[in-house]
Amino acid sequence: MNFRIRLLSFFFLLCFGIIIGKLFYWQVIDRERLVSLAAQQYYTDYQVSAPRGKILTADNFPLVLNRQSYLLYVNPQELEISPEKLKEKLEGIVDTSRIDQQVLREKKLVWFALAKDLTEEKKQAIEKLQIKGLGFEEGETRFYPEASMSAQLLGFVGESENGEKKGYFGLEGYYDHELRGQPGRNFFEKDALGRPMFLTGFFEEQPIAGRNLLLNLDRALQYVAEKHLKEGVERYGASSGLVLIMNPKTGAVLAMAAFPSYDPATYFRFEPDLFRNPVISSVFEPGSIFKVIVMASALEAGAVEPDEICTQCNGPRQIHDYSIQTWNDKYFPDSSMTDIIVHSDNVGMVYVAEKLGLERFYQYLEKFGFGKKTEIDLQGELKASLRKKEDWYEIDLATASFGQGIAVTPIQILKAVCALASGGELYRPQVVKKIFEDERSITIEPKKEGRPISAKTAKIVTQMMIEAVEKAQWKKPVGYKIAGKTGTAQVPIAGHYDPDKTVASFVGFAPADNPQFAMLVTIKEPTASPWGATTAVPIWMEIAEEIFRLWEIPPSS
Amino acid sequence: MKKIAFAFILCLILKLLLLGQGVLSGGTVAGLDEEILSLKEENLKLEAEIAQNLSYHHIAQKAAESGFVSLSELAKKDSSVALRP
Repeated sequence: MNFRIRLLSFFFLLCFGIIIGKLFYWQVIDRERLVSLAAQQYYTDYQVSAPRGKILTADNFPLVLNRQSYLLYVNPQELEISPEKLKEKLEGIVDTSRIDQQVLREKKLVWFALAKDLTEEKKQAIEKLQIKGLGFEEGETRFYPEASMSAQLLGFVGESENGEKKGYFGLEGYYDHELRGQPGRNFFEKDALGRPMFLTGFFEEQPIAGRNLLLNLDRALQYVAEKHLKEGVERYGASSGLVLIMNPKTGAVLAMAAFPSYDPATYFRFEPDLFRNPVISSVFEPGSIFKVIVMASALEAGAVEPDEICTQCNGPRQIHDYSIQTWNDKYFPDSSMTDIIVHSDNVGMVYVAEKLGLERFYQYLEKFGFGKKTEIDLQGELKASLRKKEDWYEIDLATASFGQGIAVTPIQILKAVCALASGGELYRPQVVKKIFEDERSITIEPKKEGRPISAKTAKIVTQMMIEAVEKAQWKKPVGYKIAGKTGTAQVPIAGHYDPDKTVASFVGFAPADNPQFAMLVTIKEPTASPWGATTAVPIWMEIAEEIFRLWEIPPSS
Repeated sequence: MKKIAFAFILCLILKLLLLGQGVLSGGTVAGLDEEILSLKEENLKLEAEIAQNLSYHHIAQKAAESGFVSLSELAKKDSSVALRP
């Protein structure tokens, strides 16, 4: 009897010991895991993403918005049809070329992304197929109402190494910190239905929406510039082209177009080379459009007078082993400074540059902003450096006087020409006018960077540019005073110039007596004609004509 | 003693009532949150739709479909055109 009681007692003690042991294990050893498991059941803690800021044109039209988007995923464990059948059914709705059928056969997987950034319509189309194992995750994606308009200016939103949304290139890259906002967080105890219970722990951190950008960009101008640029590049059989329009009195960027371009909504389908904005990240030898800058520098320094007669313009100029000629091998012995600009006389420009001298020439280049970035508010600007002063030889000064052997970016050249149009004041190019959110806004004032030349010099050079346009036999808007200069630069390759390739440009501003806009048109490697006068000029004039009409600018005479 | 017991029971009932209210309001707030979210989604959708319909690309496409010709095209044809009445 005693043995039985002892056995039973031992049995109870053993069971008790096991229970105590298990409780010790749960309470002490495995505590953390179980506490977190319980917390997962009782509490909800999730991140609330912040909507990315919008980008608006000067007329408050949204160029970039956010749109509800969906990520399509599959749970291979629940998939009841074969991967081949799934691919076949989704064909035409999503891009099925990237679906890895091997992965879909992996039954250990519970989640695999099939497609992202799907629209509501596509989601509904997939839902109609009633395929078990498919699901959607909600999110936001960038939406571009004007499609690919100003793609290289805007940039795009991709993903960082951590899988977070991140802006790349253009405005999206430069203002990423402003646009992205700050995600919020919700933490609360939930009931059996997953609803929040406010009597216990509750914590809510509202997301801070990204700031919006209001641009200086004129939507109508941007549309017109892109349209005419595309037509022009096709018409003249060019490889690419760009148009840049600025307000010379403030530095505001009114339009910036490049062709070919890409669609920022589907950027991953395009060659990465297209992401770079050629207006700020390509360098070229400006050719004759540079002559107005050199002439302005020489006049400002007092090296030449407007009515001075060139004493060396009667024939080709020999500098050591090099012979400098005019573009058409015609020479004008008694040319004044105005004639040199009107005839785009290379020999005349060598005369001007030599009178200015390397020291002052270099100083004025720096004053006009060459050799450094313009600091435009776009990601990806290239610094077109100037060669060290010690490395300049006589021939370098001579060729630089007519825009050869010197590399600049298109934004640098228009910024400098804007100084001629604004009476000598140099402004920093600015794309964004205002950064704003619900409660506050920051207006970005025009940034004046200096005065490379006086108002008097600016007026003289403007008059020279007016004559250059008026004496040319081009089709131009009737009654408007336009100041401009053509340029045809050769393309340097492996130590020499390609005989067949040119970069044709026209830079100018109008109305010349009260400039409302300054514009640069550059066409790369046109095949119909190599000259700026027959390729870039017609595009410039077509756009200018539309601007006069859109802005209701009355004729000068 | 009876008063303490009575007060204790009263507090207990009150706590239960408040707890119930809390749970109910949680449901209401969750419902309101959902409604706000769906309205925000609808707003996003409408904003995108309006912007797309007002975009120059869309207007130009519709104008071309309706037979309108751009001024630059007319200029190329050298036709005379009245810009303003």
